[in-house]
Amino acid sequence: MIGNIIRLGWKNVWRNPTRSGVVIIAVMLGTWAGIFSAGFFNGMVQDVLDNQIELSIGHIQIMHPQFEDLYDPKYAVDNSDQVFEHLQGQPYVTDISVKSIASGLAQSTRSNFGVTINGINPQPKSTLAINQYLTEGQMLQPNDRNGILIGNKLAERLGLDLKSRMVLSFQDVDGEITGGAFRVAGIFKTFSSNYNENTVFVQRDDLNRLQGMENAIHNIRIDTDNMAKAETYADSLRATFPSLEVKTWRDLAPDLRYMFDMMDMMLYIVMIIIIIGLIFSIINTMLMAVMERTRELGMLRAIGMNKARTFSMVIWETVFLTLVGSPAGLLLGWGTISYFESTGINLSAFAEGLSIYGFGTVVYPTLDGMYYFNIMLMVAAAALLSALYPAWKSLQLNPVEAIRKLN
Amino acid sequence: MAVITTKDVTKVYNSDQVPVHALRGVDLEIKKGEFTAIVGPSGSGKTTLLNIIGGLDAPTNGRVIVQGTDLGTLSDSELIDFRLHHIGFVFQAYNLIPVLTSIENVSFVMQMQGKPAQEYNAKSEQLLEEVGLADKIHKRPSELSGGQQQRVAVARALASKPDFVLADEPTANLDSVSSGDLLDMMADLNKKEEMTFVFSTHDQRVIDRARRIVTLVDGQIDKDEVKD
Repeated sequence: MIGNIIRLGWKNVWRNPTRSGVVIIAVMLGTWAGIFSAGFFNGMVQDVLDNQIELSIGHIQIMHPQFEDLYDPKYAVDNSDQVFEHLQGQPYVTDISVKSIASGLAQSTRSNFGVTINGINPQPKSTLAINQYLTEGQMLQPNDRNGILIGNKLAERLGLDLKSRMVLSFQDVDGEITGGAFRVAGIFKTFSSNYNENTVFVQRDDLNRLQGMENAIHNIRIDTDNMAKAETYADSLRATFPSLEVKTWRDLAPDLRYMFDMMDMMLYIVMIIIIIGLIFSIINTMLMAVMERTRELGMLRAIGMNKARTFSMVIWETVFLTLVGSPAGLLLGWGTISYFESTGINLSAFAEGLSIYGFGTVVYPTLDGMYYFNIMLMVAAAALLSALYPAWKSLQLNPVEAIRKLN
Repeated sequence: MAVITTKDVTKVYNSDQVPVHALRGVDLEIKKGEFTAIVGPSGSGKTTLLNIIGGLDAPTNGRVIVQGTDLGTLSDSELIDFRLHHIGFVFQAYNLIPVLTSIENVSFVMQMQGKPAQEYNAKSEQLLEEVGLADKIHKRPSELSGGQQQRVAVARALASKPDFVLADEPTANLDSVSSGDLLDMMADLNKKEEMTFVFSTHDQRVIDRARRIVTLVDGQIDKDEVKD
């Protein structure tokens, strides 16, 4: 009998094709909108994360435990050769780069501004990530003494052009203020306006010399084969080098971590809001369907259809109504995301606003397969939830009242 | 043996705080194979009596016994099940399921009874043939005339092999030709299969064909005549 009740439920869906069609399309569009917006925002956050990791954070960083507190140059990684040797033997390490870092003041004849000074070796790939963002000039060359790369925002603020001279002031190894004159070798413009304003790159040798140190390394950045395993890799490094501070991208960029975690939650919140809207739309439609069939439902009860069958018939109707539109919406959402995942969505019209938050101007929507599965579960749960009230309502029918309406 | 027995059945509706006595102590016995018309003016209690006999409504007082079962002792779900297996209904407005074909409408009751597909399909075809709709088994109600729909409704009422069929004003929506055909068909089923029919009706054509006429006036049996 259950097969026949299911069949009847399916046929009932198509009694009023226009009304059912509207609900099915609403479910489809709702599911699509949920999937697509989730993919869009996920892509945005993933983009920020990928950019930040590529440009400045990496997957893991190793430093002296006290360096981060004061950026005091004396807290360098003393056993950097030993660390290097160890890292080069690890199969998960895909790239290693080193930096000297100072916190200082950039000055020009017009103005000054606080900056983070990165002393880099121009060779390794990851430190060269800035290379792709250069809009003027060129990357620092090994023989290019006292060259400096600055962001376009800083250049604007200090009134600097290519080849302009500027002064950097910072603390040396003895705690005294020191400084040096640098010549602008290149101007970069990344996705983040903050970064473009408060970050500069010089050669590590130049920085070390002014700091009164030789070959000092304050930060070792490691890129791995899988950023999701960064914590596991970091644990093993912590065990090997207990005297050093080993941090993963999640520790180094808590704002990104929170954004990432929050976005994960937001994706579901957006979907829940859409589903709540759909639930009311489905309940409304099903109530109409039940109410206009009072006579028929009364007749069915009169000739012997029990409450369980009446209830399940309405449940199946609702489930069908929902489950026709939902897979179509999922498919449409998957198709849209797959298309834009390769072509991207150009938001250059909003570039200024987006760069304040470090977002890129082209968003590549992306969504984990698990999310599609979870959405399917949520929609199925919503279908059942929407079905309960109309189904309960159908049971409240008194066959005698219905019989009176019959005649 | 009596298929239906009502003992001192009363029904009082409390409408706007004013009690309305729809039935006042109805004692009735209907035997197997009877073709009975319950007649009377509007408001005399015909439909109420039919609802109570059919287990759709409960009497305020008194008892209704169908094939030895006191309907007052059954729970709601037992009553639904009892109706499914023992009582056939024919309604004035046909009330077929519009999304199902004739054969599906007829077989639906047997499906609810848990009969196997082979059995309910064969039986439904046979019943539709008996009511003269062998060529309409795959038609939906919207493709049938009023008379044809009511024939499907009769076939549906008989599908559960009920002890009796209750028909509330079955000809009220039909033209005279369709009414005549339908009544001929029911009379034929009554004669051949000894199926018990109980009608509530105003229709003189039904009254003319009935072999027993129970007249209700103000909720009481005024006359109970059996034709020779």
